[in-house]
Amino acid sequence: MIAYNSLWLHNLFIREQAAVAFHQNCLDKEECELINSKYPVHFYTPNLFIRIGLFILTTVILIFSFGLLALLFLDSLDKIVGGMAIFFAFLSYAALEYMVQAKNHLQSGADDALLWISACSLFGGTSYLTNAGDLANCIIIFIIALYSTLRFADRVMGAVLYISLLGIFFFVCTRFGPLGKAIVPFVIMAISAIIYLLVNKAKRLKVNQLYSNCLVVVSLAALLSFYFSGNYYVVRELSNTVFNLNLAQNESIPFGWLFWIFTVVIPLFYLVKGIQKKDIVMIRVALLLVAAIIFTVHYYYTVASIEAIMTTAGVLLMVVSYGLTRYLDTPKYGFTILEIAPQDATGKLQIESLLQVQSLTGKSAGSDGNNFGGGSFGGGGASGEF
Amino acid sequence: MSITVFEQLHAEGLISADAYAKIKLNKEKQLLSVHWEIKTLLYLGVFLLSAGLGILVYKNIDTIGHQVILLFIALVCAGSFFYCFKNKLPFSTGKVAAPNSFFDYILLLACCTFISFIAYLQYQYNLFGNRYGLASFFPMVLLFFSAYYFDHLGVLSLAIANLATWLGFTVTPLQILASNDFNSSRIIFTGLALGVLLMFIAWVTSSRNIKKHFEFTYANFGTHTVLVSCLAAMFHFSAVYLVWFLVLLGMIYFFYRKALQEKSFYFILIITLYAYIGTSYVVLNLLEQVGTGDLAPLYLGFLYFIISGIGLVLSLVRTNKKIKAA
Repeated sequence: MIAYNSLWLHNLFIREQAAVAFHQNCLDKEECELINSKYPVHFYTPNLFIRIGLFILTTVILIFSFGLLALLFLDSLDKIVGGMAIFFAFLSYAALEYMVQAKNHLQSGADDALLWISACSLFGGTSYLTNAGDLANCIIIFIIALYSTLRFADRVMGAVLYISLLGIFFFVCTRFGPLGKAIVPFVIMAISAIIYLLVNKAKRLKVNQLYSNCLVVVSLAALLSFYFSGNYYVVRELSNTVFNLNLAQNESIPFGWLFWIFTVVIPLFYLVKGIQKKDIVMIRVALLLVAAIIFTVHYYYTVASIEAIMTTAGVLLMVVSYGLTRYLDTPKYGFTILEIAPQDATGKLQIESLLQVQSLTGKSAGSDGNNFGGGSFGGGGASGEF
Repeated sequence: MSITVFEQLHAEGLISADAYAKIKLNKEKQLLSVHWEIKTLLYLGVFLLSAGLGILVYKNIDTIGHQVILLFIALVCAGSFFYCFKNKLPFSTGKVAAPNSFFDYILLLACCTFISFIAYLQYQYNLFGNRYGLASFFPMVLLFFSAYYFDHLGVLSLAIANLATWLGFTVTPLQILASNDFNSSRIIFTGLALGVLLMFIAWVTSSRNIKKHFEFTYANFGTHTVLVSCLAAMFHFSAVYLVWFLVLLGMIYFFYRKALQEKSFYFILIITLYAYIGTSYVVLNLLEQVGTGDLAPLYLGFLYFIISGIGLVLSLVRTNKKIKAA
């Protein structure tokens, strides 16, 4: 099913695990090298910057190829552009398979660009030819994204897949008249909850180890969609504009109080759950959504002026973070302020820096580039290691 | 970490029993680091507080009065600098770590408030009159001093940006004397000079071993400034753009050798992009000149982008290999 060599992917996973253990000073250099030699990986995965360059250049090549193709058939372009896009999609897809199968590219920039361009032009062509509406578009995207995610385990594709699934349910519901429209928020919330639980179950299966990155992204998207489908602002403004509810300025929506409860309670619930389960993704989402509470309340009820809120929030944040820093100086309840090496699920190391474990220099390559806190603030990066 | 993986590795004899026990213990302790979360909150707090205070002051300027605000800014600035001087670790030409995790933020606050202080004085009281150069000169000196004395890369970036502003200011008054055609050419030459200067400082920094970790920041600013100036020169002096294209190529070659030497993927990427923009400009210009009214140049243009794209992909892949092998 997956296009990449799954033995190598498995070996890569083991290497990553070993690298994490190395960063936590559990393994020494010799052990890491031994593991790396026992679990070979022959993917072509260049440095991140080369990946960016290859992505840009491949995109340029593809866009101009399509342009050249269009130029050849300039006279009858409007009739054949749909078919041409599909043809082009298959061409790029063939190139993608070639790069992955024959050239062993994995996250090289070239394969990313080919995957996205072929998926987008396949969608564009199909949608144009079938003159698809909202629902049909969502279904087309769903099918393309499903295939791409299963075959290439692309994280962003996973997110697109999930969003298109929500889109399908959204547009199906709206077809059932006023009642359908009224229950849309609850349907989306239910789907989000079900998907979140399913994904968390699926993460534990060994089969899904290759898709672990996709699953993390989908569970993150599910947490967000669960909140935003119950958020008062989203529900009110969406029903106003999309469903033409024509609410007056201060008029509330039916069951407004329920959505206010959702708006305020869900982030706090996430925070408590995240701390209980030590789920860093959930904690981060919760922190983000606290801001969403403030924005939503401020939008409808002007309790204080914006600058007063900013100042108070600033002071609060500084006090809280200062307090937590002092409090967690020595680890408490399994939380620490100290920087342990990047964790496996969320703070995924760059694969490139993992492979560098072979040529260890005694310091962690992953933590050097992005610390904006310390003396290496700004300036594009801390050192000349790029 | 997945404990089953290490169980297997242990069974295969790849890791010692000692290491396995350590990993198991770590896994059971399940220590979760909230380092970056708290840092982000702190940074957000600093940002919100300063922005909120800024708006508050702006809205109430009639009731507060300028002197009070200036005094307040001066107090914050002085207080922050006082804290930094008191808590800093001894100076050295090598890398000096911050004494605690708040030090860097407080130094940044001190520097930012100092810039605001000078700007406020100039704006409200016209302290330096029309000698705008002085208004950016003092902050620049202070910023460079702080960057080296307290060892702060962020402040160094601010200082370099201020240097550019200062040069811009010292250049632009001359503009009034010159006729309009020279306006942007002066800026271009200043940019080139600034870029070369920064590259020179970068070289001195690393060869003399004075705060060697500052080298990347200087080289980064320098490379971008030089190459942007070269491109600007190509676009501006359209009569002799081929000459400037040769200058650009020369610079690129120099930076390419340097990037290979330092094994820097980042510099390889940016010089590739700059070179591509320059070359494409030349090619499109030439195609435009041979334009015969039909679609032939258009076809050639499209073909150029496809072929050059493939060529660059191959060369990037090769360079990547070269750096990794080195």
